[in-house]
Amino acid sequence: MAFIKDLLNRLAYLFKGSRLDDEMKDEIQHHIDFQKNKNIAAGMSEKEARLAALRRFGNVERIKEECRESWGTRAFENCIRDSRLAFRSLIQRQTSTLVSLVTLALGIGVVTAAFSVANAILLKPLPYEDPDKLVMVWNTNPNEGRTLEQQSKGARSMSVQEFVDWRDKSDVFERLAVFQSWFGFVESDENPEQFFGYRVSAGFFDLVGVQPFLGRGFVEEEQVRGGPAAIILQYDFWRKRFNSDPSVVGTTMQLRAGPTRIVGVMPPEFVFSSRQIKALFPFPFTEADLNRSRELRYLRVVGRIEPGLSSEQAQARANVFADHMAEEYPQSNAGWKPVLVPVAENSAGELMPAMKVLLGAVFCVLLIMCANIANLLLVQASSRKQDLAVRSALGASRWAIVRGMLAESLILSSAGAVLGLAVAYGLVAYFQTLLPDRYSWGTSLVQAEAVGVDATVIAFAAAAGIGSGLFFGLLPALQVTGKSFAQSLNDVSRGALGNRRGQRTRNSLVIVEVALSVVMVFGAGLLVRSFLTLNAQGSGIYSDDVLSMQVGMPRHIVDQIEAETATKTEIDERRVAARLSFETALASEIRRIPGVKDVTVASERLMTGWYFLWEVEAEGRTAASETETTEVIRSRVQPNYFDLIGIPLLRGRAFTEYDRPNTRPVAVINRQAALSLFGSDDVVGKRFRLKSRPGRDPSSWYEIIGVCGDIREDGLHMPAKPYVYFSKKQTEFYGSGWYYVATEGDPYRLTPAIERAVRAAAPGTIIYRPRSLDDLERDSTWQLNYATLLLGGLALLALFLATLGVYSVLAVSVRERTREIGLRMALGAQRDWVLGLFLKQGVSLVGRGVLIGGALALVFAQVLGSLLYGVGPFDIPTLAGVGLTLVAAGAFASVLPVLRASRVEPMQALRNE
Amino acid sequence: MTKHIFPQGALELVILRVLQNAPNHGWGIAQKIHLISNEVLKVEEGSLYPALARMVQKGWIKSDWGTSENNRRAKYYHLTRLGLKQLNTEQANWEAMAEAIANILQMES
Amino acid sequence: MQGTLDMLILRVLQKDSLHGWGISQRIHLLSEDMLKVEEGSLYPALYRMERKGHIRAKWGISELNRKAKFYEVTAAGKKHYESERKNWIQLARATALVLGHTFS
Repeated sequence: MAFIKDLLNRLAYLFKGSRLDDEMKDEIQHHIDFQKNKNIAAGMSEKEARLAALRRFGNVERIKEECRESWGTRAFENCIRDSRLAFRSLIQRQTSTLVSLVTLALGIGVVTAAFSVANAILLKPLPYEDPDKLVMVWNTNPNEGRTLEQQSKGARSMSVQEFVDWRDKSDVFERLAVFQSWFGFVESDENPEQFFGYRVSAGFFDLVGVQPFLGRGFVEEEQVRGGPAAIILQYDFWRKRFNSDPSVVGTTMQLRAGPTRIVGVMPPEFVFSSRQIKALFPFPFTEADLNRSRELRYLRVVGRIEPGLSSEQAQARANVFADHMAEEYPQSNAGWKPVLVPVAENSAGELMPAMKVLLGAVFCVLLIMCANIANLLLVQASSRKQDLAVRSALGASRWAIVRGMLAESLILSSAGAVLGLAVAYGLVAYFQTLLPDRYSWGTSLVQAEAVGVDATVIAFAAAAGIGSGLFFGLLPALQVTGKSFAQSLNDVSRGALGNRRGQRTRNSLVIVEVALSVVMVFGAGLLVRSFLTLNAQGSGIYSDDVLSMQVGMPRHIVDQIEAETATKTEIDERRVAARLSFETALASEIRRIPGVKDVTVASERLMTGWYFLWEVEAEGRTAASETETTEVIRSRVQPNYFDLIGIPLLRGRAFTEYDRPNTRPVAVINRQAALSLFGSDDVVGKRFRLKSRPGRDPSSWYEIIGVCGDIREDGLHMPAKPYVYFSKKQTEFYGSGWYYVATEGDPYRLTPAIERAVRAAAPGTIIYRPRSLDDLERDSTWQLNYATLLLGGLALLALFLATLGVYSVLAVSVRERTREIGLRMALGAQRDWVLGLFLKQGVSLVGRGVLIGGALALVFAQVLGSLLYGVGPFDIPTLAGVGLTLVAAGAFASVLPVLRASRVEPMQALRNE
Repeated sequence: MTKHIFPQGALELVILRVLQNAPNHGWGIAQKIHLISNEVLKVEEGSLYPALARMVQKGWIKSDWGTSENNRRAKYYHLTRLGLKQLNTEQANWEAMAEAIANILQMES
Repeated sequence: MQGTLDMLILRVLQKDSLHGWGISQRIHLLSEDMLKVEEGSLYPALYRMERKGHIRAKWGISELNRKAKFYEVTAAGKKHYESERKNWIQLARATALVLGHTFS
């Protein structure tokens, strides 16, 4: 408080300026006059009285000076004077100022943008209370093929009974809740909408420590089956669908499931587990739920660990509790082990390692940038030595000169930071367009939406600016003023053979730059190679321009069937028939749109890493493969599916219109499935079936009529999944259909037309999540794409800056040695010798940098490990390529200076100095 | 001294007074002052050594090397004649001034 | 002596607001001319204290019939004075203790 007041007063004095000074003089005069009057009254003469008063007062001029000091404005005044001088000097040296400014703006801009990504994903705390205590509870069992990776992608962790045991009997969690994906469908003629939400069990809001910011959480009666239907909206959904109208809280929404009361709206920053959640529903357990098999594991579980427990302790206790359960229920629980994964880790997902690498790269580039500008300023400083020496001879202290030079670099770097922030702003906007569709499955990156320029990012840019300004300003300032100025006056006038010490500093800066860029370019090179490998290999889908989307069946058709029909079996049959005819009709409507080549309908979406796995068994091989199970993805498709999607048929045939319910059950399976089931892909004519599950009989035997190519369903970087295809007509079941529309040219161009056709054919339905297959493929490896783009960009910047560094050092070296060259040439040295001299210098700089950088690169590349595909972190060819690139860049940077050196005319060079 | 408000002259005076008794090294001087003042005066290195240097400069004290209690080489300071004179005159001055100020401060305002 | 001077200024301003000359006269009076400082050194002290917010100045008309700055103590100044006063007395006593100590 007192400090701030003091500062404000100082500033106020600063603005008062000369008025303050006049007042002070007046006051002192007033004092002296008083004393004089008193002295006169005591009987002194006028003159005597004045002199005595002055004597008594003391040294007037010194006291005035002390008064000025005591206003405490000196520091500001110095500051203003330094800045004014610095501005003038910067404007005088236009070219170098511009170069530095561009370097800074680009450097700080790119680095800040990259930092904003790392900040959002790695550093920003998750929007929960005490987020470190929140864990996802996954359930693994290697014997049954349940791995952690599968868990965090799929939805299965615990059965209801297991959850209740963990919640009520274990000593690991303060709170425990389940959440489960749930669809909502808004019934509306004008604006029907399908959306995705979570059902959350009681206590969820207390668990995450976030309450709705409008309305309330779910109350007990809503968490009971048969209780009033309630929904809590996510902020975004509320904003878009209800125009942020607070009065909707308490009103009723017409959902397909029935009228549902809106009881609350979550705060804008709240996001949990998936970015696509638009609403939360209550999750009531019924008696039936509680009595279901312990093996029916379909719940996802989140917990807050007991206060005071570290995550290791919590994991240890959880293991103990799991052992107890396994003893109590050996049938269902033997071999099952919980894995507690911090929510932060779970939400940053696979991007975590990339972000750490990114943060490292950010600091590398900052260093290179600083080294570069420091070099530039060093060069300038050495050419300004004379000027500085004169200033020093005129009485400026070393500190004053250092301060002056620091002022210049700080002004430069602050301007750079401001420009850089603008660049970062643009880049961040671009980064956001690169994020995968928020409706893509398989990514839990909840904080991605938070990538943006916030206070932390601005603070980072400011710190980067000021920090680099201090760094690159202080170095030359100290270097230049460190040597005796008289000496440097002599140096300059004699045209000495180059300032050895300055040269050495500049050389080492450049070597550091080159070394750091080798590390970065190597890292980026590995990523690019992975990227190219993946894209060359592809997903197994060979088609261009296919739009995928989901279309639900109009509700009224179902209602009508239910109203007209009595028995459950009959309803199911009629629904299937209605569905098939709806799909056929809609497909032919869409086919009629100009620009549409063909349409096919399937039961599964592609390339989203989201699917159910079904256990299958091969006929005759059941006994042999008791222990290992084959799990497949199952899709029901139309005959033209393989053609349209571009999945090659390797053996046998595809489906025809004649594969119907009353004909022999047939299937097409992919190569993976064939190998896994039969150990060979020559399987046409063989049979398999879906295994029985708790509460479900095995399916009938399907005869394999064809074998098709594999699809890397989990993403380009993942192995292909076994797939089995059934004929839609033969095995239809109700559910929603995925439509794949092959188009001429850009598929999104046709989205509005398709939307109109769907509306016309079936009022009250919507097309859901239209996305091209190309985009889905890209989304599947977006982590790698993102990392490649960010690191690649940073590496290119590093390369550019390092090249610039090599250039500037050589250029200065040539300039400083012009006289020497002239002399040597006059004494008979050949031009070749001159060329060799500077090429050698260039190559030696780059060479040393490459050697050091290469060694560092091999050490640091290991951190990239999990991001690489088809290439290891010790990839010598890439490293060699990077080394060559750097040497080439160095050679390129040397060309101009070396040419200039070789063109030196001996006589002129000697005369010039 | 603990507070900046305490005048420099007073610090020099107490140092002179301590050295009048016996030569001592810097740390010993600070200890002694602390002890005798009933632990009110704490002389920090930041003000002690500049004060000693100033006083050497003015010729009030002199330093030479000796061996301290724990057998380490240490700089011992001792009073000069000039220092003794300074102590005598300034002590009287200080006491008068301190009393005057104390009077003012304790007077009803 | 800077701190001591500040303290004395605060002391004489406790009751009245005074202009610079008035302050110097009052200090002389109170200290019975024991304090031999240049009167001028009062002014840097006044400005510094004003900056720190311990005193504030108001314009008034002096006995010379001229516009002059009259200083008064602020609440912060009062508080500062109290703590400095206690401190000073304590330190002065301690110093007296050292000076009057009989070494054995």
